Amino acid sequence: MIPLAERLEVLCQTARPSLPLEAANEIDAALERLRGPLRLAVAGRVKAGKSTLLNALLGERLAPTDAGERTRFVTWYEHGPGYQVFAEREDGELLPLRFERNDDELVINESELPDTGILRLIVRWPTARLRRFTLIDTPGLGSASPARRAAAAGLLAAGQGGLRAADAVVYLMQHAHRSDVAFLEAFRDPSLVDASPVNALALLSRADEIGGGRPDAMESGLRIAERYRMDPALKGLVGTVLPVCGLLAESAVTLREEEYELLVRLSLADPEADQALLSADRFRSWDASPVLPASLDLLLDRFGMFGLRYALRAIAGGEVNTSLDLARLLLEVSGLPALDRALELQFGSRASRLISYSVLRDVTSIANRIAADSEAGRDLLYALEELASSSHEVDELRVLHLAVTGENGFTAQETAEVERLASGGDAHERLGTGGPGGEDTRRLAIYRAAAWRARVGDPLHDPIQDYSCEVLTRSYEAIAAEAAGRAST
Amino acid sequence: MTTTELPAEAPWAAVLDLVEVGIGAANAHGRDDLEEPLRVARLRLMRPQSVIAVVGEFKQGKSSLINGLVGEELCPVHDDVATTTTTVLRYGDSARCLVTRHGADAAEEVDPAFATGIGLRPSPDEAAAIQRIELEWPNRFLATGITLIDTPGAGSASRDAGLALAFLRVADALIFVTDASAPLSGDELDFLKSASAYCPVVMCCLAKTDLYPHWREVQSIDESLLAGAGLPARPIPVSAALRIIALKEGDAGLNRESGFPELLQVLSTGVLEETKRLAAHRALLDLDAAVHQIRLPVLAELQALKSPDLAAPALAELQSRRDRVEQLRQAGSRWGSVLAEGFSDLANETDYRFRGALRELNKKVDRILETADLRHDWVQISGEVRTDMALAVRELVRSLEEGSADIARRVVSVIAEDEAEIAVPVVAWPDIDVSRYWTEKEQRELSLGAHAGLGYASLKGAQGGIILASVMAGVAGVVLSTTATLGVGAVFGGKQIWDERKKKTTQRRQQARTVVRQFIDDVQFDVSKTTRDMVRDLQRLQREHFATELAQRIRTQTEAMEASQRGAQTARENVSRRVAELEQTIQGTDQLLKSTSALRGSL
Repeated sequence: MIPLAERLEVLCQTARPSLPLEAANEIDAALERLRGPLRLAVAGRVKAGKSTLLNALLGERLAPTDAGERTRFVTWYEHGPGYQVFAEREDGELLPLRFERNDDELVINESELPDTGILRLIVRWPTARLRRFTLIDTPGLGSASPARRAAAAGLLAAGQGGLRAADAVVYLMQHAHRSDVAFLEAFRDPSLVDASPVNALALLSRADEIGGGRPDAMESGLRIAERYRMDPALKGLVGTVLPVCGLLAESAVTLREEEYELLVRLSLADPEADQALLSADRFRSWDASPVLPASLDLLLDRFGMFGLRYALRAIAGGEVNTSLDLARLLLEVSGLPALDRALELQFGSRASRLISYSVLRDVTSIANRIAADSEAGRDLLYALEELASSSHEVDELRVLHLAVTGENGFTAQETAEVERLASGGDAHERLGTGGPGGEDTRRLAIYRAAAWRARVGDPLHDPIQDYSCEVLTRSYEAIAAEAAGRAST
Repeated sequence: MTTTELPAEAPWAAVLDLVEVGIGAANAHGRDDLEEPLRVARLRLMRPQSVIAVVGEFKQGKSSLINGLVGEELCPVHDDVATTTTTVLRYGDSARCLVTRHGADAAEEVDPAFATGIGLRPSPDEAAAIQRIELEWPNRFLATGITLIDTPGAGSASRDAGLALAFLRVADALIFVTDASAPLSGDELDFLKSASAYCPVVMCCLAKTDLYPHWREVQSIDESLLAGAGLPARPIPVSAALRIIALKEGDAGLNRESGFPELLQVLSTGVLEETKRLAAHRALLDLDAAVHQIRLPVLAELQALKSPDLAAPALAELQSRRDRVEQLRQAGSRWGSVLAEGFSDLANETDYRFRGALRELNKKVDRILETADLRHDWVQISGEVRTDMALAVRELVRSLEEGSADIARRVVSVIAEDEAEIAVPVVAWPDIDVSRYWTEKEQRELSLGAHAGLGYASLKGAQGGIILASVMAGVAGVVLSTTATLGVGAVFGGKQIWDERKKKTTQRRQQARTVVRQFIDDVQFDVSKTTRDMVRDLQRLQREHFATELAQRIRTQTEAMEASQRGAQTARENVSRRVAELEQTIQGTDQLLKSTSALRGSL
């Protein structure tokens, strides 16, 4: 079976010469996406802590974090061979921006930029993580300043710079606030990214604060995330809900030896430390502390009250003996590894399909726009529609969406089966068997195809259920055919 | 008759002294019926009732703040579960807890541990069935007369503005809680803007300062945001966690750091002073009325003593006046039927209007559902239904308030028409409070300075208001969610699926209509029961109030007659001594009246 991406490219290349030049260039740009990594947008309300989490995901402090609202523009973090920062104007021109590293933090000189006319900032950085995902930082929603509110809404809706350009979404929320749910609902608007449990997940961010920063706060976070995962309002919107403590994750991945030394010295001042850890103010003005006041400020900013309490307890209790141990422990507690696993499982494995689907949608909208004035555009549109309805990859994504939202009434086990099938890996991965095994693979696929075919036409089925069973039958048939082809060559 | 000197710093202290004098005078003249209201006034002065609603978005630390204020963990605080019921906290000599469930006829007394969450925590399902918890607790903070309302957090303050603003009708002050993690959001600011238009005192608390090192920056950003919105207020930074530890360990320094002493200070100058002022005003009105009634028999006796030849006609005049007042008290009097008819009309009228509003809402929902795309619009539609419902309930409360004040006004004028010469005009009208709930009664918003004017009372501080506010909270609590079945996205949609979905759309609309109908029905059931009870209680209270007032006046007239007779029969040789005695009494009462009017000016 020819992958959707390839068919799409062939189709566009064929149509290209007869298209108006501008549209052809746009289509080229859209197709360029097929070769890039998955675009992952990070969104949330103003208080949600997006930038901190981004830094944790990047492993470097590239996004600005402080008490005020700093994220003025949509910022793209892309992989690049060197260190570069640009502002992209609406007319497509790239303006290089000056930047510096201030105490590891990236400070972009964006003060001269106008508030309007800028599409996005682009940060190109040679970070390994960016090879897999291009990260898109979005301005917070629900800001107190009306101008910013409007700007955020505009940016999210805008084409190239906005969420529409994203293939998948990570949504940060502090609690399942009604406006969070409404926001996710709005994501489903096909004019934005099509958020569905297939390509969106939610994070309970700043999960440590829910439990008042107590040492066991993250356990509360886990329980609450578990409950939200079952919440009917969220279930149809996001694939999963995970608790994270962005600050701790950021500090853990960027932990420095001298910070560890400072923490060790603090942990030795045992009974006093307990008093100082009662509040942020107390900690800052800890007179007889074993470290300099400036270091106290630094530690507080880097770890937060929860991080400090947790780290000092772990050091005092002998749980960790080196900075490496501590970084590992804090990282595990922060929930970042679990997020990484979920990102890989949910987006990484089906990245190529999600990207192809986004590109298909983008090209279709371009074709739609020019169809009225251009014969070739109309032809392209029909061809694309045919492609969309005949693409089995799109069908599989649809069925996956139907399964995880519960619309086709699949059981959890059947849903897991669909998830495997739609992953886009090797035949044995999609079948869920241990390893590649020609004849066995074929036989198992035939067996599964027969099982699903038997369910088609069940009198109790509605058309959606029938459609789902048909798609799965075809998926297994394709695997079987491929395995047979391989066996015969 | 002592003090006329007014200590400028505490006029209520002087008022309290005067009330004591008044109690002494009523006692000396054997008028226990006049003494009683003055004793109530004294108690009210010492413990002025005020209601403070604590509001904010959910999980901002409202319950913790309340625990910090009272210094005890009375409101359950949980990492996960947010407060879903309205809890009313007030002083009681012993711990007592009343729970009202949705649709239940009456409150049910339960173990106080139920509300405080010590041990007997209700399950989420149980909690959802509870409309209101009233907790009476022996506590020093509550003993100052403050009633605290712990409100369920708004999901989004702006969308539920109608609901959250409903609490403002019953509150003297509002504490808005926002946590120190980041500056106020747009929703929060919008809410504060509209709140300040309804509530005289709006305070903003920055909670959880122990957790956030940058709370000072957040505070200053919030301050400028508030100033920009025309609400010049400094958010008060507090940390309930520190307060609880400080109180447990008796650590004064930590207590200061918790920010609660400052909050309490602001509460006492911003809220308690005002309620004390109102209580003082009310006390002065009561005192004036009592003094006038004490004077009347004295004046009658004096007149008889001074001009014995006019005693007979004067007595006849007193007699006839007494008879006329007596008649007013009897069944079939005009004011009685004005009152009864007034309330029956009010009940019908408000019920009719409420039903009308719900009908409109139903029609509107039908109209919206005709064309709505439920997959996308359901959240917004259900939010709109809730807000409209909240507005309808608020309108209902308002018309009840105004209607019953209107009836009282009409009754007073009818009494005045029938008996223009009634010795002392019937002034105050009864407290709107439902006495069986409150230990003390309270009246607010007296039209200041108008002695004979009718005090306009609102639902502020009234139990009825709290009931309705919690009905409103119930409005928010009633589940209006069918997201699981309605909210299936158009994502990855294909033609075949689309057709099937079109078929389902009709089903979904029907389903949505049923859900909304059911919701409106549930709320109507709760609300109409509550309003019926309120109208009945209001009517009873007004009737009792006017009957008591008339009884007082009959007794005054009777005593005046007796005094007149006594004066006429006084032996010649005793007359001048008796006149001197009585004139001294009159002088005393004159001075008392002068003091009250002077004090009224200074309040």
